[in-house]
Amino acid sequence: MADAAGQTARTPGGEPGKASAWQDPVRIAQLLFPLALLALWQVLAVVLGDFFVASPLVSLRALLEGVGEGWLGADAGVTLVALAYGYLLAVVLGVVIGFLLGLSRFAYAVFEPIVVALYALPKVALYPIFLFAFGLGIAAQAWFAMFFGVFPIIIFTMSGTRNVSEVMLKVGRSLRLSRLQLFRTIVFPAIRPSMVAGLRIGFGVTFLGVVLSQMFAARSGLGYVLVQSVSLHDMPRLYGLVLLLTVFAFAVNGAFLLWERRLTRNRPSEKGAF
Amino acid sequence: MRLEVKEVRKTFSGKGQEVEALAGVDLAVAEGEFVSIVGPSGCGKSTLLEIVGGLIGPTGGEVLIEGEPINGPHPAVGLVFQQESAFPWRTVLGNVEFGLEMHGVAKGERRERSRALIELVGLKGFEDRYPGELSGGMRQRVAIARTLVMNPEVLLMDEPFGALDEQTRLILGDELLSIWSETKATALFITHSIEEATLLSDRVIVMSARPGTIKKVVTVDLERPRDSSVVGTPEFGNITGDVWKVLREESMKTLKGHV
Amino acid sequence: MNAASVRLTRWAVIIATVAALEIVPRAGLGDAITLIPLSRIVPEFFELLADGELTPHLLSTGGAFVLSFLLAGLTGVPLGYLLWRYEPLKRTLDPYLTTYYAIPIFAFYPLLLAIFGFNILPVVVISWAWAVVAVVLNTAIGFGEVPRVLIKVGQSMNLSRWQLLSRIFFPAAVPYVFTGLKLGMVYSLIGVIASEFVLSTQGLGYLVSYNYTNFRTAAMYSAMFLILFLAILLNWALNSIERRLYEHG
Repeated sequence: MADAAGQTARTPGGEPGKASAWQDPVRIAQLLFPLALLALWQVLAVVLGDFFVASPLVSLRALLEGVGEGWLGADAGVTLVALAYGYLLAVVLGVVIGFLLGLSRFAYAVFEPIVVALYALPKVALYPIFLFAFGLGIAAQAWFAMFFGVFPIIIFTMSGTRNVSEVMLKVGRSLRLSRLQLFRTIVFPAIRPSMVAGLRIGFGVTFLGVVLSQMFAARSGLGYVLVQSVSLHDMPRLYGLVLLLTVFAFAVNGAFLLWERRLTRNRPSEKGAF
Repeated sequence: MRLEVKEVRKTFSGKGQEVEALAGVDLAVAEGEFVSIVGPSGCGKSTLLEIVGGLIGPTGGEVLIEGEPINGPHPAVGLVFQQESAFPWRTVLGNVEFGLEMHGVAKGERRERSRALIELVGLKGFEDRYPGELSGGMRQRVAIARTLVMNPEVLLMDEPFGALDEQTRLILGDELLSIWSETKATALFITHSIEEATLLSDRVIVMSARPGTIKKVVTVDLERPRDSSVVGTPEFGNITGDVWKVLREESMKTLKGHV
Repeated sequence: MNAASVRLTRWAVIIATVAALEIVPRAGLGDAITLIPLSRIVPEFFELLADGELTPHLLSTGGAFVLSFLLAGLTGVPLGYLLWRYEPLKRTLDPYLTTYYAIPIFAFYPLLLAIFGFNILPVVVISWAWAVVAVVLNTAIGFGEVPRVLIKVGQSMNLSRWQLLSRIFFPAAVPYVFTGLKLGMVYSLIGVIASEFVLSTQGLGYLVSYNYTNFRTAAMYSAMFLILFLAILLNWALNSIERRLYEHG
């Protein structure tokens, strides 16, 4: 139907522009952006002084000292354990609940607005309830982080399940596939891309939940060290930890994005021809 | 107004490759004539229309209106598109008077002219509705009225009924014929429906597969005024048969190219 | 499946949840000190309200929320426009913007506290930072998603650049910009409550943590419920405005 040249212009020939990727100014700018932020940080450190801003190098040194003194390893360990448990819970509960709610049109219609609304609530203030239920410690942090991360996973799995193509299901049924075959060959591959998107966003939110919970009434973990550094006005440690958390989140998210891209690589893009 | 297309070529380039869309199109439409263009999908007919409308420039050749080469959209030319183009944030009346408003026509006059056009396209009573509240066919009438209210002397239409079902498009075709006979505009109409082209036109032009050129011109010598009741007549069948013979060949080329 | 039965079931689920908040503590299915039935929390809430104990916190939260949202809107919409306007800029920043919400931005809050001290400023800044990117992204998408055919209509009518922008691009982008502002508002509130709760000296979030640390459980629950109530009200209001906005579209 598209009467435009763009449609077939993409298909023939090799992969255009591959050799010139390194000459693409946008790609170069993308790579330079973190360096620009680093430079800005350095400039701010010089201009505002070390009472407000610790320079990148000083902050990095504070982290290395933390490794040497052992606290960084210990507190990062606590954070990672809480994150691992919290994320595991969020993934299992989120995928199962999302899939079940997505199976029925009725359940989807009833619960979708509720789940979306719950996602948008300021749930942090409910943390004391988790402390009452699980005591001060990693269990409360993990369950609380699950409570953060589970909603995006439910939402994405639910809508992925709901959007499994009716026609493809009919194709499967007409080929008299068993229920298991139907799930393995048609349902699951259809859900997977949006589920992985849910897992990615869910991870970010779970991580946020862990850090927040450790900022409140905790005795260990990176969130706790952050808050402690405020009262000590230990700027190098503060900046170092923020850098560490940011880089970690960025790296994990990047890995998820690569996975997502691999899953959707062979699908026609959403954008139509112009 | 007289419309001439001379040796128009268009090559799109992007990402290191070039696609030739039009390879020299020559065409003349006399004042008050209704000409349709049919062609296989991807043959560049929409590109041709956008060049005539002044939205994009040709790579070579030129478009003349009353013997004057155009440079950008000509004020006497009106365009109707296939895609939904009624502004969803404006009422029917707001849509129809849009062009007049933009060109500073006083409120009283633009109201009057818009209401007349709304009545002409059969939307009287819907002036204050929003496009979202109307059917697809009605929304396309809004878009047509918005173009016609500017009193275009050349009317360019790119599959205006392409998104509608067969019955609706035949009926809208009838309405378009009666409106057109009142305006006496020179009309260039793009469609992929042979029947629609034959019903509306004085001449049907068949374009080749890409790169687009003119393959054949079929004269429609059916009496005017006509309406969709001619569709069943043998004369009509002869003409559509002629068109299909050429179009079939070109469409096969396109299909084979894609498979 | 009809809309009425869906809505009925949804309300039944909500009412059952609220009822559980009353019944579970009463049935003694938990610690009597930490689990308090709803019927004891609600009177406590009105007592606090009458005492005037809630008022300064309500005002502080409200002020920080309005301020951070206004800032997010006033900076986010123009930035989103610029991002759309300068395509290379958008393409450069795209990977970073889409990753933005994966980063625990609240880790920056202690940093801001150390810089600005314990006042409303760190709360506003972190909430703005949490909200603004949603506004920027949606505004940029809104301008980018304007259907090409509408632009062609404008061009074929010989509109000036400014007319094209103000009469076609802006109105066509409105629903997206509104979605951005809606998210910005929700994120602002979350940001304010979270930062108040974690570390601050006033606000509703602070009230929850203060009452928790001082074992005033009923007062803590009433602050929690007030926060949830306000957030639900905000969401509901925004959704009904949005529905109206899309009605014509």
